[in-house]
Amino acid sequence: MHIPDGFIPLWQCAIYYVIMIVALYFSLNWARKNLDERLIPLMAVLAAGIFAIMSMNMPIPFGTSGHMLGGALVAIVFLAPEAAVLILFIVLLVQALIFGDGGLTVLGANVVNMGLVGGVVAFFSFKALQKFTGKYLAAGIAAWLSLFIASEVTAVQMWLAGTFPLIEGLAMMGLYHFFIGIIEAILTVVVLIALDKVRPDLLAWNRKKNMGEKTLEASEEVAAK
Amino acid sequence: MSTKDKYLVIAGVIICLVIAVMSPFIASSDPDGLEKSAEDVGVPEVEASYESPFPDYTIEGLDKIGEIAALAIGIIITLIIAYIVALLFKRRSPPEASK
Repeated sequence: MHIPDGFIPLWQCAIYYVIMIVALYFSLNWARKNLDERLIPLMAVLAAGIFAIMSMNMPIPFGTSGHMLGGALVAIVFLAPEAAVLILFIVLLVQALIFGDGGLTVLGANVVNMGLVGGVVAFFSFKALQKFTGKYLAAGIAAWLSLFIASEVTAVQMWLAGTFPLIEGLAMMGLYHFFIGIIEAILTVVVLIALDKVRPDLLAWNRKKNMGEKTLEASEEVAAK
Repeated sequence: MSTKDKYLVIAGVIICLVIAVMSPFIASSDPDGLEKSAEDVGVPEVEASYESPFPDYTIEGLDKIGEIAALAIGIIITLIIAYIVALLFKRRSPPEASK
């Protein structure tokens, strides 16, 4: 759901750029505080993976298609919406610059809905649900919610831009992304299960608050199970 | 990078490349949710403000091979950029020093 150039008036694009830059500031601060050396490869692989998966448009009913965003996955892997903003920014920048997917003028708007909204919704809904439903079900629901709400925010952006009428936009985007969200949820959970199996030490939910040696102990415990 | 991390990167890139090879064949060419919504409410297509080297993940003159190659190029570029960004902004201080 990359917004193309021309869908949003330039002055509104500027506002989204400002929001994006503020969000990126927080992301880089987060990285400075939390991004361990050993998480760098994971970050790179997740970015490449999200780029790849975004190309895989899955057919859904009503003659349309949709792809995974991956923001929820990143937010849950790192337990930080800041990470989702940073990775989605990199992916969307490459897509806009090299492949013309999503316009350059609307890069801010795209990062705001897919990275910021997607990441924040996923993070907080995962946090809230985790205790009641267990982490995988929580991750699935969080992923669905993050994609669905990101799509509705896109509909609102389109309405503010005067491109979509509000009710029709919300209904259409909601209807299509209701189904795309199911794909997002399944893939998010599958990747999380796989990562928990092969590299439990990389998942933030396996790490204790105080990092360092305890991290290794915790991850070894998990690995031993 | 530890051996484990090398495996992670290699496995990750292989999965990405498998997706890149399959994608041009099995990905749906139907418009995506946003494009379809735009069609439904009658938004006209607009010319992009800027000409990208591989528009719509294609390389001119090459059919499916071009799509696969374009995706592979994108995957590698994204991987490298994300790696460099993460390297530049990684945590500087040891865990004890940061509050």
